[in-house]
Amino acid sequence: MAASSDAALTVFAWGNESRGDDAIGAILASRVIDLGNAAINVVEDHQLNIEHVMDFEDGVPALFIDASVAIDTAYKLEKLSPFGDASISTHSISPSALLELYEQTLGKPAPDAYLLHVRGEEFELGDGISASTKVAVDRAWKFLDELFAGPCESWAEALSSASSGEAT
Amino acid sequence: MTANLETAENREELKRIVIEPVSRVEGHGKVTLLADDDNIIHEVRMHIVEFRGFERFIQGRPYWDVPVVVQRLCGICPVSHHLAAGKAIDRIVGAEKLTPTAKKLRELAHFGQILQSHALHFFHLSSPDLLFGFDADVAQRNIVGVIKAHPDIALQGVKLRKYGQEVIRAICGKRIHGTGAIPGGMNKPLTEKEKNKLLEDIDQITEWAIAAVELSKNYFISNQPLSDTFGSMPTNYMSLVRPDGALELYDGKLRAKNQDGETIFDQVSDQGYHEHIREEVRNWSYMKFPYITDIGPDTGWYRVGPLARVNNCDYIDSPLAEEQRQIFTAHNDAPMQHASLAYHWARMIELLHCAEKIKELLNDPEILGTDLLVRGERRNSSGIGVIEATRGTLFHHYEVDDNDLIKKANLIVSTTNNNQAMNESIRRVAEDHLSGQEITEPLLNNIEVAIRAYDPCLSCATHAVGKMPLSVELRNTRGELLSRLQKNSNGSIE
Repeated sequence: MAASSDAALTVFAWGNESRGDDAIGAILASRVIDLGNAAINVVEDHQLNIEHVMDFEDGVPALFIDASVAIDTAYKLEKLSPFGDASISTHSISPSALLELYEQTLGKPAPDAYLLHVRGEEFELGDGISASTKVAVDRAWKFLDELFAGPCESWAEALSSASSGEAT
Repeated sequence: MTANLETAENREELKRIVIEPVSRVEGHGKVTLLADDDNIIHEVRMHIVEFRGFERFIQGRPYWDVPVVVQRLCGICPVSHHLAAGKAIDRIVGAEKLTPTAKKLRELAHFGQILQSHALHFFHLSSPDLLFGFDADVAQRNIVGVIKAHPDIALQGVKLRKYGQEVIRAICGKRIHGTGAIPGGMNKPLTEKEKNKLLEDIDQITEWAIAAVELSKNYFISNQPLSDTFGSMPTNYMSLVRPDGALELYDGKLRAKNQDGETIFDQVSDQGYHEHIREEVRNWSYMKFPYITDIGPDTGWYRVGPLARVNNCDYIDSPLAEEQRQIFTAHNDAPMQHASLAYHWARMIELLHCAEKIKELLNDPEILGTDLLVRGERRNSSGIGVIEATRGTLFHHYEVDDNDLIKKANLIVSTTNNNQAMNESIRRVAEDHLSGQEITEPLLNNIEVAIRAYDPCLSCATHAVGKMPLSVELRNTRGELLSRLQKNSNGSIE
């Protein structure tokens, strides 16, 4: 985890390694941490929840990574806006709702934020990651690895550009 | 009691209304209602399918791995599973009497867990119903509505939750998959720096907890008779208590009282729980129905959790929470509080208790001790760990083979203990508020409000993007869809 003052990007990744493809977030978080890049602050958790509003850093873009059943492709990068949906449960909150919560409770604009959907299919307790999702994870990782190979000053623009393109 | 609504006599002639997560990931829970042509409801059942596979997930693993791996059963109460499993494994290795520091560190983590979970539930899940009303516009009746109308309350909820998480992180090393409890003790001490950091905020946390008790109490008192009757019924209650009868969350003896406050059993060792509790299987539910053996399945079911704990105990050993408990128990001049919505009030009394106990433990010199581990001889092939988790009594029971592998596991989670009670509550709501009415979203929310009072763990599973958490379908006797309401993953209703 990077020191706060060094961070150029906050990565939020979550999921359960023991529930099949829900492990996507944990796997990619682990790979990002292994990069040892001081400009990336990784926030890994079991589930995204309200207290994560305290993990943003002022002016530092955020990248959320989660398993997704909402896409047909291996992965997709989506630009997020704060949106007051009612997705919160005792167990989760959507990234957009978290951004809205940030703005409303802390009284300042949420940072630029993106959601990296990675396609998951099987989520049974005790199962490992599925074969097709392994491929999707590797493709998503290739995208991230190439992103982080560039200078950190370029990440925000690269994320913005990639989020406006076609799903991969 | 509404047991007559468990199974209708003429099921095939009735319309079926299903409230169900339409998850493409995994089913969690659903409610089915059978109604006749006049929408008179004849059958109500709540099905929870979430807990399939828990035992299978644990079997075959080495026993020392269990306290860590069970945290993956649930992302919202991993510490409760961690500590219950830790207590069970302590028994197996013959090291159940921990050092004072190790026991206090476990208690501190547990108080942090309950504080953050109670705060999240009350401030962000239940407060929209309480602040705006059960039938308020769904666009307002959510956390965003609370943020806009009461930003101070929303922020307090966030900070209380964050504080509890920081307590857990300080003791277990990280917020998820920490390894605080190990067989015979704890694996890391609390540092002076960590203690001082947590002490910095505890007075503010306590102040917010006091305000939360007032909010929940004022809601309850000012909304009678609804708050007394909504989804309510007299029941038995079960919880852990200390030997002197005090509220106990980490390690005590089992006590059960009946609806009149009379003792059913008391000071029962958690190691003998299976002599007093049995589980009934019903063909319409994956989740079992526990009951008190001596009374039987028909009337021996009980409630657990904050309402049971505050009802059952003789006192609370923290002064501010005890003061509030006395007000709570004096309500209606009744021996037990049976109102389901009183769960919220009791929950906030416990929130305050946790804040007080966290401060007490942080100021205890032993909390910084470094004598953390007791070594024993493996002497048992089975181990039982019982804890008062956020939502109620949690049982972990393991049997280990000669190769140190778990050969059998039995978990009775808090929500299972409340299974019959939740069914009874929604039957009361269906009878009082839905029967004879056209199904609408606000009416659907009445069912959810009753379920929410128990703070059940219905959705431990996955939350992948795109999941659709809830729908209600009304079908005729031929299975044809008559009407449908769907709550999308962003909470919107179609």
